[in-house]
Amino acid sequence: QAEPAPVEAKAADDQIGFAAAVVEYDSNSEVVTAKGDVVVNRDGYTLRADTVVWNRTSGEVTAEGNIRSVGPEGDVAYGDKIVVTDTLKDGIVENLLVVLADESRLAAKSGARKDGVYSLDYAAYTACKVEGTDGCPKKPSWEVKAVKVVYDPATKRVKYEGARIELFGLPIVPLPFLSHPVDTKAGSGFLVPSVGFSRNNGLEIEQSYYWRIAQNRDLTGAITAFSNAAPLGQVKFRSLEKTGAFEVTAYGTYSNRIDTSGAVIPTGSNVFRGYVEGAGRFQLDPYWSISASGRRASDRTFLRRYDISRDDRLRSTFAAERIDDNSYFSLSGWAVQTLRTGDKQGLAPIALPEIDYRRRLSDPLLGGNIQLQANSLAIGRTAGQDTQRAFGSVKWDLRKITKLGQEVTFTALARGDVYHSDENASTTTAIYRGDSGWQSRAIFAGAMDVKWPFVGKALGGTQIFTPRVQLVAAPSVTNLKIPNEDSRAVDLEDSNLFALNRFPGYDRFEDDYRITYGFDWTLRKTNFTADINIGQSYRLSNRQSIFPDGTGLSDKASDIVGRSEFRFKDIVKLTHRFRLDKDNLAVRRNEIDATIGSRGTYVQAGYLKLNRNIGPTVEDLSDREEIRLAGRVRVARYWSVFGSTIIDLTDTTEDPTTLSDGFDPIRHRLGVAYDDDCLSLSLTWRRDYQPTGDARRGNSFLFRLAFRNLGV
Amino acid sequence: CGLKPLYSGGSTGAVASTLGTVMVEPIAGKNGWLMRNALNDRLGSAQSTSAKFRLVVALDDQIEGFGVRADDTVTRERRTLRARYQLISLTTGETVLDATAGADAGIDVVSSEYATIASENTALENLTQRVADQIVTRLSLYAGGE
Amino acid sequence: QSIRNHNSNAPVDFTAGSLELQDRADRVVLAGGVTVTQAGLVLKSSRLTAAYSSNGGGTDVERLDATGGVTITKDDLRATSNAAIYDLNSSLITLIGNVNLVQGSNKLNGGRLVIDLNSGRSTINGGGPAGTSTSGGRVSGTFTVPPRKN
Repeated sequence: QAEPAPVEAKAADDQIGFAAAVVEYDSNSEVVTAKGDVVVNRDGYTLRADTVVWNRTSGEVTAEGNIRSVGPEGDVAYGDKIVVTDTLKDGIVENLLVVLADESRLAAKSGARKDGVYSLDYAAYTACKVEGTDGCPKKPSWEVKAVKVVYDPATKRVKYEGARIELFGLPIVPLPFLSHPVDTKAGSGFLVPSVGFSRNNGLEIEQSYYWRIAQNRDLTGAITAFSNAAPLGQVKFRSLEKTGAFEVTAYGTYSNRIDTSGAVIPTGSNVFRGYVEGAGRFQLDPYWSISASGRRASDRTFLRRYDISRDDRLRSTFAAERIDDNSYFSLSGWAVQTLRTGDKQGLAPIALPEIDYRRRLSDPLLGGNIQLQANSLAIGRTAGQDTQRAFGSVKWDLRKITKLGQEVTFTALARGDVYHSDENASTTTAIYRGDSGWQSRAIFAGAMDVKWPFVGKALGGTQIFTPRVQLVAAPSVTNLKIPNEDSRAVDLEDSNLFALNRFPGYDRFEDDYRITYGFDWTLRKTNFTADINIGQSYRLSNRQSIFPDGTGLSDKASDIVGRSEFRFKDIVKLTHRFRLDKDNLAVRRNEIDATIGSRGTYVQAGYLKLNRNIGPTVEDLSDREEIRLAGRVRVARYWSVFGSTIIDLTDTTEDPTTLSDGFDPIRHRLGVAYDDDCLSLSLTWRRDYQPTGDARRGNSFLFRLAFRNLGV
Repeated sequence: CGLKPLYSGGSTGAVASTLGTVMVEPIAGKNGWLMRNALNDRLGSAQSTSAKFRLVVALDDQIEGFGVRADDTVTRERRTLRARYQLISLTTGETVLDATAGADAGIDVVSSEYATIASENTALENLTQRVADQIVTRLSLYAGGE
Repeated sequence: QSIRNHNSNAPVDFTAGSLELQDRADRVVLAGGVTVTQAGLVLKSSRLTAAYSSNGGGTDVERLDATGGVTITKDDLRATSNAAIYDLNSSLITLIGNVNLVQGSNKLNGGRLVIDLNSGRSTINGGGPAGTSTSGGRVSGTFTVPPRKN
């Protein structure tokens, strides 16, 4: 007859459910003995063993033979012999192994469980897999060994006494008061310290504490102790609000400062030094949003000295923006703290406020669309030229496709500018000054642009060939009388060749009659794509150009600019941007970027050569030559070696002011890293070749260690 | 070598009229506003009533510095604007095209930081035009049955 | 409340729908709703065969074989099964097939239950002969945890 016995009888909370091959119940000694794959469960706790003896009077349950006890939180405890009370919660276990809900493991010589809390003696914890993918046992890459470990499944937290971490079996870091959460939710606690050595400050050890204030707010405090510098304090606060988020970070220390001009301030003049940065963005409603980010350092070498960041300029900005389908409004401000040795902070511009409003509407008459723009800008310098500007402009565009498939675009622009400036003499570059007082200007421009894309099969793929011709007409406008604040970084490129005004910004407008021509060619195959474009422009009027020499736009015919990009699967990516001199096709600008390899093993190379020989009248646009290399090679399953270097190849022929002799490494980095499912470890050696102030030249080493679950 | 105009049949041809049924979803931020306008200029902003396709675009806008001098000053910047776009058919709801487009522009770092900021903004406006061109060309290939 | 020290030699009386005496085989076959009582122990089943020894004049019942909806009750113990054998000499009751034991609030069911009336020990298993779980059947049930002061 069929056996109706259900495998596991669910027991009410004051009852113990039994399931076994044989159950003996001796009613006079009140002893229940179950044998044969016994499963006992009560109140969410289950116990599985070969034999279970339960003395009902004393309430003691003794289990033996490959025991598996599962708690309600999903933690599984294995052991040789377990003696528990009949609540199945509390009891003593010999040779215990607990597999926690997130598959990390706690093993102990002996342990007891009281009200569900495990307290284990001579225990070891690891979050690493102990079985390779092929199923054979694998030694965990790290484990924490401790005299006593307390694990509370309710709070999901593990606390250690007398703990130390063993890495690949070698005891390395004693962690006297280690405690950490076990589940994925972040909990407060000490993070794993990181160790390093730097030429500036000697040996450094950083110990940080993560405090989870609330679900949406946390604070990380860190102290870094140095062997030959005062300790550095750091606090980082982050908060996620309903409509946005912000974070603030501050550093502070007390150490000697060497002025960047090299003159050593007499020692003993330790000053308070620090740096603060913050950023935030709030979307107030579907249209309005405000965002701000600020950075401020106490002196010019603090960031480099403590290796916080390598930036040489600290930008602070705020913006209030309103964006909807056809209008954009922004009120923003910019200020910059320069950390460059040569710069005078007084000359650094502060743009406050910059207002920009654009509105698009469709043109009822001819079917094009119109963009109205109103912009105003006020630039102040504490010790330099102040400039205010306001302009209004109307731009009309009409795009048609002819029967033959030509894309024709007509453009018309009208703009009225008003400027006011004073203390113009303090601007070093003469052509930027403009005349002080009030200036005004009216700009008109018209353009016709024809693109004729052709498509066809080629070389087993699809090719698209798009010749393009553009005619631009702009009557002459006053340019040099207007102060130039934002049209200084002039550089002819394939990206701005067909722009209406090849000057950046608004202060200069290209007033000439010109024709610009070029073509785009693309080949698309399944694994390979090639993109080539090239172009040039020719000035029809013989009016003297206001472009500085060397920008490629100073003569009637412009330099030839273009770009070619080749991509093979996602293994090889090669990009080459160039500008060739119109007369002798000499290379004026050459930028090559190549990335070869897969995600694990790759090489990246970047080459830059600027040979524009722009005259000394324009002090900004100097020539350079540089090579940047970076790579990572996966040497073993988890190990990889990585490195990067920047070498300045500029020599005096290119830039008379340069100090480098044609081969001058700026810095390089070399390191080895180990990453597996529960540990990431990296040792990086970095060498800086150039001293600036108290950020001295030399080597620094950084050892980073991160354990999964241990407060990474 | 078998070349024929991409927009054969002019504005009433198959490709141009299919492009006219593409509605561009709003894209966040200033570069999103510029990109959506550039796309609508080229596609003819289809209203939701006549749209057959929905174009979803996600932008990634990075500025990196290089041309590092001895005293660690950065002399050259490059702004890269990348777009990942998906064309979704409104009738079947299925994504018929999922591709990326990108362009970059070089910027000289000049002594006046505001001038560098201004040329970064101008570079963004030029880049949105180039990336919009690439997206519309790819859509035209699709509309032409590529 | 234990079933210990049950007197297996107490007189056994039967009631049944029909009774057939097979004298030469020293057997009595009862059917049609049989009830057997012995000092507080009650056994009910649809058929029962009682075997007795007739040496020395008296009729000592030695073994009862009950089949069909067997129910055994004594004080707070109640066991049901498809069939049962009561060996009075060894005072062992063996229930077989779909065994269900309820004692107070403890419930156990399984394939085979042996109740030792002298020691009060009852062993239930998956249905194979005592001590082996050949048939792979499982025993399951619940025991109440006696309330404890701790």
